Amino acid sequence: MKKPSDIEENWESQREKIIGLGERSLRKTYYPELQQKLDQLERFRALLDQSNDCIFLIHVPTGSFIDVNESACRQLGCSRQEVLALPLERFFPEDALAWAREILAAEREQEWDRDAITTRMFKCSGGELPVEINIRLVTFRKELYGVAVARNITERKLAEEALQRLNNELEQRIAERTADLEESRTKLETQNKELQKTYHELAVETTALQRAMEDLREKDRMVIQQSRMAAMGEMLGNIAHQWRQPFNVLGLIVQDLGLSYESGEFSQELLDSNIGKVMEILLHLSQTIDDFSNFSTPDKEKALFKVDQVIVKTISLIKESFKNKHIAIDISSSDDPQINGYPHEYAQVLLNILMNARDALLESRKENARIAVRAWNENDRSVVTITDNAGGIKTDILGKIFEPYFTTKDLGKGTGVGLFLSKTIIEKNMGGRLSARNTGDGVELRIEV
Amino acid sequence: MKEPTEFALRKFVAPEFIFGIDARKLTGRYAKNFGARKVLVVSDPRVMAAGWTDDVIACLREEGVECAVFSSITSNPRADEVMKGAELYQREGCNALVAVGGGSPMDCAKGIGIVCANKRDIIAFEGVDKVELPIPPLICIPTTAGSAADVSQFAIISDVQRRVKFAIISKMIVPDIALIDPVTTTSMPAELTAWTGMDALCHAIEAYVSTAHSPITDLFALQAIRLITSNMLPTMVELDNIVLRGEMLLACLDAGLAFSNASLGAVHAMAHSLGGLLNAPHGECNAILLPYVIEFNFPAAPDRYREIGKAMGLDMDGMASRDALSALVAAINHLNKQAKLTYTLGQLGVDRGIIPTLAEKAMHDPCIFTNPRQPRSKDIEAIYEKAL
Repeated sequence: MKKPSDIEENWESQREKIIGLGERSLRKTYYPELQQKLDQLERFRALLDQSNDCIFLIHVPTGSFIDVNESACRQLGCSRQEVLALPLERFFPEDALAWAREILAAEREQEWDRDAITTRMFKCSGGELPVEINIRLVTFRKELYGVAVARNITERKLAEEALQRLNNELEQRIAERTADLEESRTKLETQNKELQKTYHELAVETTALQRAMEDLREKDRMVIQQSRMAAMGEMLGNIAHQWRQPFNVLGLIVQDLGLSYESGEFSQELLDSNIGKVMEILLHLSQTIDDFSNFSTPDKEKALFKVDQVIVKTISLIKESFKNKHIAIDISSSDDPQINGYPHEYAQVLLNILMNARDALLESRKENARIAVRAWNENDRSVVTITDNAGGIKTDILGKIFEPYFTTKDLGKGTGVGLFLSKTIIEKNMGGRLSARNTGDGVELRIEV
Repeated sequence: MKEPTEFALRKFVAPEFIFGIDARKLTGRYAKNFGARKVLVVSDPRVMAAGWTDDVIACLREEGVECAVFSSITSNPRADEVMKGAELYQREGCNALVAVGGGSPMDCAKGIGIVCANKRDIIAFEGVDKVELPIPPLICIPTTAGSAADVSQFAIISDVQRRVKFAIISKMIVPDIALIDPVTTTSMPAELTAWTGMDALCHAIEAYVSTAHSPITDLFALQAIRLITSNMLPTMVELDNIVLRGEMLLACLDAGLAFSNASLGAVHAMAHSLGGLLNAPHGECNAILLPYVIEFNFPAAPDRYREIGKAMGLDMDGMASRDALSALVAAINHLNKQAKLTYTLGQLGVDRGIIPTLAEKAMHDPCIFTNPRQPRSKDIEAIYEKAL
């Protein structure tokens, strides 16, 4: 239950309010709300004015501006009054106007937005403002308005231009580079063609060379064969010399046997003695064949050999023949020189030189024909000199004696490959040196290996 | 000699109003001046039928103001009707209100305005000074000479669920303009003329004896009493007499200006309670209750009741209080009788059993706070019982 005093207080306060003395007892007024709305509007207006975009409100029925934001005035360099007083034509080029009129010709709001266009606006101060603009229709209190928003695209334009420039430069560079590359490619192609041609030519040349080399080799083989045949001929002569004496002895022995029998002096002892002698001579002859055949057999592999031994063996082959021709051979050796090489070929060289010396001595008809063969070591190399006293070689042809097919001999006597082949054997095969020089009365051939 | 209490703080709020023949025809001009683009015209079927609504709509259209009409209103406007009207207002995109009719359409229009401006259910605004935001522009064209809602800060709404009529009292809902045109009252039948006339008399008497009365409200209250006493019965005879209608409408306006500022008393508190519970006609309830409330209140303000008696043409000089009261009550009963308002609450369907409930509700009605004598529940119950 409420106490009477409470009720009275309540009554009193309620009465006060009814009288209209309450704090909230206000006559109806819209002003506070209006003020609030005005503030909102002012804020919004500031927002629009501060926007970077130029905003225009176009009254569609009259086709004129009825409002414009601060930003538009600033960017166009016009006062608000100017913008509102001037026709659209003053601000837009013809193409943009046509576009705008088409949009504004609509009788009501469109449900879709038209695409913005890029155009320019004319400033009051002269000059142009590049803009991207779009227009949207709105109905407000049954009137149709166009809200045009123009965005200043100067910076974008600059950026686009810069980009375009860069693009152009890049394209230019690419074009240049492409041209360079094309040039290089063409050059390379030409070079390649040339190379191919050269290669082809080289191939042809190589083939020709190969053929020539084949021919040369064939020639060499023929020369060597010829040389060998000549040597064989020589050898046969030598063998004939070697064998004549033993054959004579054999004949004497056989005759001795016959004479002994006739004289009655034939005895078992004599027979045995003579058989012994015959066998010894036959053995010698057989040995001679071995020596010659060995001489003509080419070496297969390098071998370490003693120079002295080769000299003795070689001279043994021709000793009889030379003696027969009254040519003396002096041999002197020191240091026991040794060579790692091909002993048979080496011997062939010695033989060739000795034969040349013999021919020269025979031709010069020298009284005391003599050949000196000396051997020694010099600077870790073996040196063998063969010196004759046949009068020497004329200076003008001394340089040519090692050339192939060069000969001073009468036709049919020499092959002209002897010294060339010898030089080849010593220098190419064994890495040595073969040289010739005149002494006072003859020629000295020097073999260094 | 006046007492210093005569100069306690008082406020007087009245809307701009135009009183006179064909005042209604200014509706279009005013709507336009208020910035109205589209108005919601709130009316009721009776007024619609009488043609006043169309009359007003034509005025509006003439000025290029669009209209939407809301007329689904019962005689005591209900909260749900208010909400429906508000919904229509929003849906139609209205920005102003025009009420054409008696108390019901005008109160309903006020309710719609409150809801639209404050965006809450109308029930939330029961009481004094609960309306925060001003309602949209409201133009009232009264077609009865009773409620005076066109000049008052009152709106009475029925809450069907709680079965009460609640009062919304706020300066925010005082209309922006009242176009008070006697012509619109000529369509009232005699019976309605009597009910509304007695309502206006109650306004004037209660305002005069209200504890919130002021010297200004007193002027209007007494003048209203004089005009009603001398014009109500003749008007019932000559319904088309525009002068009598004008006098009655002027009386109603005077009473309205008085009670809107001085408020009312127990008669209205108890009538609201009856109206909410039984949907009883407001004017009839007032007429039945008035004599019994005067009997109860008289001791608290005998001099004021004597002044009322004088205004009614009674000679009470030198009369004992008891006799003065008796004379006053008799005069009112006489008026009721002449106006054929001879009902009792019992005839309106009031049962003795619901009296405590009625009393309880009346005790919470804002009108009770300015009653010259502060009643207790049982006092109210006793009055109801007498009126059975």
